Amino acid sequence: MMLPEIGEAGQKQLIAASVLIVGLGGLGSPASLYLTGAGVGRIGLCDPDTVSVSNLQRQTLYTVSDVSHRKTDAAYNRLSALSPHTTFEQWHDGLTERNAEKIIAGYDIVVDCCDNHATRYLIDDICGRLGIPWVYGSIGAFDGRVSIFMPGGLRYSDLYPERKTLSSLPPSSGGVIGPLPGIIGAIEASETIKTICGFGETLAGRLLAINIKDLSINILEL
Amino acid sequence: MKIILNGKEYFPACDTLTVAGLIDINRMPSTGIAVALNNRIVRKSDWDDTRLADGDHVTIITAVCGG
Repeated sequence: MMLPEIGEAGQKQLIAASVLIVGLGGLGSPASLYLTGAGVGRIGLCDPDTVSVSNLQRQTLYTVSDVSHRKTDAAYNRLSALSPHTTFEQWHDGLTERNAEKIIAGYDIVVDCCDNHATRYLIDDICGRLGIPWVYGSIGAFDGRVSIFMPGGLRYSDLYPERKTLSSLPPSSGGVIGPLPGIIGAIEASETIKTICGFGETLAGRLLAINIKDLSINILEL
Repeated sequence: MKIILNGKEYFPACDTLTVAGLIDINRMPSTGIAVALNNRIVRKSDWDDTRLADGDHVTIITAVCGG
């Protein structure tokens, strides 16, 4: 609110906004914390998993006492303590072919924090059909990607057309250095806030590619 | 011909080279990557017809999927 780029008008836009966060892991942790802190009025928390000990190195929403609990429940407890004024909706089943359209239709913007290609193509399909913007975020061991796919613009499936091959890959299970999802999830939150409030130059139509081993940063036109 | 491939100098053995040829010569997987030429993504359907020129910057972006 103290920033002129946001101000009272921007704060009202944030309060009026609804955001669906798909995936409450390494990316979803910082994204949900910052979006809650920013005062987004309604946030959907979507993840079918439970918290495990191996998550704690990077999934900053959770502590040891959350292990074995549903991520949607643990995230709700953490986030509602941060902002009692935000309405949270929990989607315990995650995003599936059956429920995706019904869930996504209820939000202004989708923040992709998931861990597999199949769910990303599903978000791409439904958001494209419904005309809803989505913030893409993804990580490898040392690589991070962020973009915003706007209605009518180039789609994720245009960027990576090998849908069948990529969707058949199992969810990422390789190691990742803990701070990387923190960086990428925070950028996703920042891009979401900029999109809602309408300031700055967003990553709509552009792809941010970061490697934290050599700190190379590229912003590529889609 | 000199190309900057992922930030490093690269000297192809031949004088004419397309994006598809570059992928092939370097034995990169043709699935799960996006290619940018001078900071603009080249759609996969255009890889065969997009010729590289001296001084071009080519960036390969793998489709990571973690979260």
